[in-house]
Amino acid sequence: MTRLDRLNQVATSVTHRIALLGFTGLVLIALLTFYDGAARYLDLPRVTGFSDFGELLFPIVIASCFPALLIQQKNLTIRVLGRFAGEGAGRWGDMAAAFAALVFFMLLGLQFAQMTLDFYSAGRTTATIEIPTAPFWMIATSMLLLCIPIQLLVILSLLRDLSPLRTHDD
Amino acid sequence: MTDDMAVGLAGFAALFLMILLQVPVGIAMALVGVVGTGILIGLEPALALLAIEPSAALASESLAIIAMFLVMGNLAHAGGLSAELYRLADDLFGHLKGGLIYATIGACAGFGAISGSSVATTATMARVALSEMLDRGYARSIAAGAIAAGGTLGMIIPPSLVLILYGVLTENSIIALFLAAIVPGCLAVIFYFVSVGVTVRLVPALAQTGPRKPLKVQLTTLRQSWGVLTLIIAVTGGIYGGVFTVPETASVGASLALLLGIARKKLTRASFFESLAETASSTGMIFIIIIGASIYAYFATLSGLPTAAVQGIQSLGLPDWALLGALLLLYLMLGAFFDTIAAMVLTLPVVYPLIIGMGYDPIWWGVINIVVLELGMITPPFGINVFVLHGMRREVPLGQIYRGVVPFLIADLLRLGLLVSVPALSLWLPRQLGWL
Repeated sequence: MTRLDRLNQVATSVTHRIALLGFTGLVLIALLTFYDGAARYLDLPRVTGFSDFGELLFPIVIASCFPALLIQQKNLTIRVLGRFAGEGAGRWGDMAAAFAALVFFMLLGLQFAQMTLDFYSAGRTTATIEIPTAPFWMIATSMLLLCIPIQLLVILSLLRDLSPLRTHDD
Repeated sequence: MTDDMAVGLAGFAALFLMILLQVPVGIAMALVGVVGTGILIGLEPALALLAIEPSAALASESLAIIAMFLVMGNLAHAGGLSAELYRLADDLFGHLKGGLIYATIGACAGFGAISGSSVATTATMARVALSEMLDRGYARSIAAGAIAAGGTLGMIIPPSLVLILYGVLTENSIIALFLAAIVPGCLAVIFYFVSVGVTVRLVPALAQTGPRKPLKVQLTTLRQSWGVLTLIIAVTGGIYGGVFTVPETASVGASLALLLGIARKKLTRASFFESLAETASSTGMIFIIIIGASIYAYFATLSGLPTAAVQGIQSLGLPDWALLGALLLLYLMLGAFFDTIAAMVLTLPVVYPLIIGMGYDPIWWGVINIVVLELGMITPPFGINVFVLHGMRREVPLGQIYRGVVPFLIADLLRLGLLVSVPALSLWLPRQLGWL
């Protein structure tokens, strides 16, 4: 097993756990929403500022699945190039696509970092119970920034597969 | 043509080129949107778009519903609810000639009501129903065709993820869209049933007849299916009865699927995490597309291209029915080559203003758009459901699946014609309930 394979293995495991953690959070939000909805009819105490929690937690949950999506290369792609122009062309297409994804996540991560800093300096809070939003966006931004090394790893793996000495099954 | 429009056109061409080069659809849309906006109004506001649009999408409660419904569908499957639904449908229809095909269609419709995704419904039913049909001597073509076509019901029967996406992107009421899809969804099931009936009558060797289950057995199965029935009733009753809001209903559905799985000891720790991983993957994919679509739509609007396209098409003076026919043909072709969501979000910035400009109801168009894209999911040369099924069961050749979907394709075309000719079939219910 090469160093790249080991790195891939670690990255897959870490991103998988991050996604699971994020989506376990989503299930907890679902349970809390269920309770809050039922509390309306059962005259139970409601969760104060409930919508604020969603506003803060949804970005973390959704961002948590991006690193895993990248390492598994499960983005929605129309694979016509490989089908019509041969497997070699398809692999070069994958490489071009991987670079495009890297540029996208670099720009996205940097813009989110800037936005989070702006939220921090402006002391932005949620509307109802005034929780500071910057720490939550910081977590979501970290997930997006993590996508950059992950995508670099994907590119390295694709480059290795493009090497003429290796076949796709190596 | 103004310079802005030329940039818009160049962006459109670049988008398709990138997609053909296998750049993920969402990322291609986002990059073209940012570069195009940069050319039109400067780099700084263009880059700012990469914070504004994605952060709005990530924090949107309306879009978080998609993830919740995906959790519900995946947990329901892991908790054995899809198998339960199939057993119930088998008990009810199994004694008819081709009974297992009716059961598969029925179970697909039921699972569509708790999953919202065609691909998920197809994959689930391929695991649950295909072996059963093959073991009982059904022809591979009709068995596989029924699953691929039945899977499309997941997209039209509410809660449908694609309808939610359409509602969010076009700022239409999600409940009105769900209500508008009920009659077309029921019609889909009826048309499929008729199609199966005619096919097995014409070629009896394709299907078998099972034994009629005694009433007592049927009642026992019904009792044992309380879990899945509770979930369907909670979701549909929650939305349409006005008991919960749509986001609440999605959360209630996800929570119930989890609690039912745990209570009935069907959901293990491993299957729970497997479901979450599956959900995370689908959610990430959909959100990248949403982010890309919102950035691209901003650029397209800024370039003035959609407005010019609408004015240009209207100036041709073609009758509305001809335009509508051309659009449907375009979607049939797009659906055969592109993924449903990709085909919808790519065309929405131009087609939606055109439809509104022609005076059609946006809710009606939402339903028609889904129905025609649904057709594309089983249309050669690609048809994503056919590929999903073939990917899961390699022993069933693509050619056989395509042959098997033919009766369902005919049924779909007839239904599409009916829904286009009689808009009231979609609009009557939301009007009656005061959502239009």
